[in-house]
Amino acid sequence: MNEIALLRTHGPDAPEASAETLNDARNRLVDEFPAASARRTVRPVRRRTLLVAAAATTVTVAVGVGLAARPVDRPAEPVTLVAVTMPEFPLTLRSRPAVLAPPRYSYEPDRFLAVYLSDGGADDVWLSVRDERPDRHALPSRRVTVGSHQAELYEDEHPAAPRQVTVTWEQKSGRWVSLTGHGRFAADGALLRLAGDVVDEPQPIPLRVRVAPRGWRIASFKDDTILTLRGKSPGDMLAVQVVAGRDPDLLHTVMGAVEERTVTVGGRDARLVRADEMWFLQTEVPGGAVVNLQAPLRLTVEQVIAIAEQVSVTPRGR
Amino acid sequence: MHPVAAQERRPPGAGPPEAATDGDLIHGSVTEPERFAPLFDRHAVAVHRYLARRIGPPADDLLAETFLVAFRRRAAYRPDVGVRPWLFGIATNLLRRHVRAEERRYRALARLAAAETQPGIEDAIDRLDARALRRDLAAALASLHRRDRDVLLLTAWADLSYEQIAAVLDIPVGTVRSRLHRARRLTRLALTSKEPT
Repeated sequence: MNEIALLRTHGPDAPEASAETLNDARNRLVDEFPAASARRTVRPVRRRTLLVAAAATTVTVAVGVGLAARPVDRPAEPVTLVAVTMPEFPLTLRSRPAVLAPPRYSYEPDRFLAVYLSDGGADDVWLSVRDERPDRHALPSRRVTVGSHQAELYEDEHPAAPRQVTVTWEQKSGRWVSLTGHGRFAADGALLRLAGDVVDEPQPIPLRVRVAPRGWRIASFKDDTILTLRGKSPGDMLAVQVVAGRDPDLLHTVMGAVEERTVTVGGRDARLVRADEMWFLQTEVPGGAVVNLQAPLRLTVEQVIAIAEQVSVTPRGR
Repeated sequence: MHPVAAQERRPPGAGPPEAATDGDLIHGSVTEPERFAPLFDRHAVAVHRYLARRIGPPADDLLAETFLVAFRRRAAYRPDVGVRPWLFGIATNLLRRHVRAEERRYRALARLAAAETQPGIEDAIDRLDARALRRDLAAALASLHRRDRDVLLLTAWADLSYEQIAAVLDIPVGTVRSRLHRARRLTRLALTSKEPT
């Protein structure tokens, strides 16, 4: 019996949910419905602008790097690499409190987020931008002002989590900004002072790729360390991840690894693993960061290397 | 009868033929929020079991939170993932705030299994084996890195595929494979290193 089967049969178990537990959870859910309906009926229809535009510009600026597909290891669909324009986080804090580190950025289709971690971990601040008004989940709120904008201030409910307070306002048409404070920044006054320091100033993302297959879009990035692009087919995914250091034994740690070879990326030796379903390239980029790049096998080795040569990682400042 | 119990006890295929799919319900709930309720009825027991196996009694609260988060994010649901895997992904992300509690639980279960009273003569061997397995599995889970454990338990207890795990945790499939490979290797090592006792 393998580990998975053993976990199913002999792993930690627990009693089934009681009817009371299920009822309570269901009631908490159903309690949200009326407010959601109300919001839905009054929400103005807005064009999605900011984030859609940001994503759309990622790969459609096709200046043609000109690496047409040249199948090396297996027949491949023609793939052409084109230039990628990375989205930039549109805002910053004019005066970042000393307790907060420089922001780390994350992006997903409906939200762009800058996380300012605090020294002790208790006073973190999140700044997010959306195309649509964020759902404040029927929480009680009060009206405040941020600069010249009307805003809503409310406390988020997260059982067993530290207190967090959020202020949300429409900074410009179709751009909703939310600032969430914890610890000392969960105090209304401190949070509103910080909100007053939010200004327009596009911020580049530290982990960047500059070329990608034509038609692929940036699907997400996380915490400045993982960047994912997707094409139209389910297997079309390119992932770049910043890792702590080189792995000395890729053949054993990359699942399905078949063979490993040394290649040259930007004048440096890098290791390329061909696995069952993907290329896995580990290389150092200018500045010393080590990145892993995963790409489908339908890209050629040259294309994988060309993409890797255009990856950059900006060192995190303080 | 409690609506959840009624839903869960219905034999497979016994539902009305016109029953809406999960995808229909979640899509419809964007404009008609009450259409989300049947999704709770369909999946709450499975999600709770997954949570409870991982964290014990706090699963009750996390169950409610999982569905509240899902409801609030319903407009962003990606139909290629599937509702149940999506819910497991949300539950797994919520568990990250409770890593220490989860690991404490596994260690406690390992101690508990080790301290069980001696079995009767007839089935002594079987019960000793099972007890040792429970102890070693719990200890192995406590020792895994949280990210590896997430992938292992989404495979074992939520029955998700590599692709589903990649989608709900938003990581590359290759990373899922690597993490699962490492988690299985370490779990196997924990089991074999104590055998025989």
